[in-house]
Amino acid sequence: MSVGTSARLSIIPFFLVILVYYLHGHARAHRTWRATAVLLLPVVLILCATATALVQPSTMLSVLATTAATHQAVLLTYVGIEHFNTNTVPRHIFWTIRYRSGTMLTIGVLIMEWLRRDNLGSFIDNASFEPTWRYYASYASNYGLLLVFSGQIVHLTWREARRADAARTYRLRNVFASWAFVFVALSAVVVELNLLLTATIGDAYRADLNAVYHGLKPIVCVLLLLSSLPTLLLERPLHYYLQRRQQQDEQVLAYLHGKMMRIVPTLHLDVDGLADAGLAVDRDDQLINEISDAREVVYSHHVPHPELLAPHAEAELLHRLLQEHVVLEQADAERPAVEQVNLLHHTIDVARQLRKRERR
Amino acid sequence: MMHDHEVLPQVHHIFNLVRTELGPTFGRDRLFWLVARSRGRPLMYEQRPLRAGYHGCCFGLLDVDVICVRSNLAPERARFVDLHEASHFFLQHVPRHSFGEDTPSYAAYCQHADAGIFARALHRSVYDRPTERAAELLGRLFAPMVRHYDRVRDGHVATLPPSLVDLYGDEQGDP
Repeated sequence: MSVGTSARLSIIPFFLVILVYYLHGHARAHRTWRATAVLLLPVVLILCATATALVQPSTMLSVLATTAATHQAVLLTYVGIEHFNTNTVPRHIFWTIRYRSGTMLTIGVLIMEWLRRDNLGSFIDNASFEPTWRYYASYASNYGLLLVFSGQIVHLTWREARRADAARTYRLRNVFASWAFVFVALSAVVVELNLLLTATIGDAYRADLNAVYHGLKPIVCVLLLLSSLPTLLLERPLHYYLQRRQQQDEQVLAYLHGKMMRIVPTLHLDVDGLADAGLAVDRDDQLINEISDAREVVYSHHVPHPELLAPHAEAELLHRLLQEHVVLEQADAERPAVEQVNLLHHTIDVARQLRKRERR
Repeated sequence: MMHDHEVLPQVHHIFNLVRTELGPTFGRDRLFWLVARSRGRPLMYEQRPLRAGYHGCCFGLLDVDVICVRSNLAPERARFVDLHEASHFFLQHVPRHSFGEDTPSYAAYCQHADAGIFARALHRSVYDRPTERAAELLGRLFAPMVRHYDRVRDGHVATLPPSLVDLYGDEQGDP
């Protein structure tokens, strides 16, 4: 079995799982068919494109069907992601400007494919072909348009993934989708590069680059599957990961706090009594506040400028003060105050650097 | 290490009073409004460059009360200082005329504010005095309530778009 065929066969189960999940969700959530169709159509089209690409040797019909189905799947994915993310599913998705303009470009690519109707050897399956400009142009336009569509999806999903005000599973879903289409774009680039090399220096690298192209497909499938997981399945590992990271941050903050309170003991406020009285003070608040206050005292005595030191330099200073058993009472009020920005990241970095230094 | 047993009952009492008056979450402005109402005169808030060790200070002038916070603090730090200084007023640490017979009016203060006035005012530095410990404890108790209010106000309580909830289900925990 060729590399291309095995890659195509390997992606079918992934899309079948996604298809079944969306159909199941449709029945469970009583979703309208219009909303479900926006999700289902790209999956069905990819399955169709995979099936027609399995036809070897290629026919004009299978080539046109594969190209049309692939482009429409990616285009509908783009339109679908955009509308679902903005919570608007248009009544007639096929009449949106984005869909219609994308479809016009796809028709242009199909015309290019038709122009090479007597030269149908599959470039990506290492089949023999006549090296004419029409052949190269049809492949270049086909994968070029795929690159454009994928780039737009990456732009859209990455923007959503970076939204600080969005729910964390939503952002993670967009991260997976973004990476999936980064790999789609990368596969398109590989084919374009392969075409260029074959047209200019011959087909010495053709088989290897085609293997890379097909090898990217399962990665795309896994990422698409991850981006389509139910929220509950994404939430659990994400919650575990974030909780673990928060615990690690708290540990390093507590470590740094302990060290800094040895240098400036007057800044530690005992809050244990509050808990006994049924009141709670946020532990992170306490740590970060007292560390920042202590930093100000240390800087006022030992740093001649009001700018924050780099984390490694601050850790080095603290390490030295600890080794010399320096104890400070309060800030030198004659000195300008240190400007403290991006406190949490800086403080965690300092704590890690100091711990590393003390372990040596 | 400073112990808070001597100031704890008062802090607890004031915290309960404020929570009863303002509810479980409230904005900083609402807290300042309560300070002004309880003192019966305006509360002026300002940010100025202050020296090392001075995060903020508060004092009573002839006609108004003033909270002054250092201008180059990170927002999250400034929030704590705001709450610390407001706590001094709730805990009745601030006389109506903080500088005795020398207390200026707000107009005179604006014209002649100097470092001396800030040094003489109550200012947040080390916790060597019970008043500073009490104000810090009360401010830290207010902090989560104000932070939650700010997050809701700024739309930072993350939610999923309804169409995605319909597709994939809702989140179980808070983001």
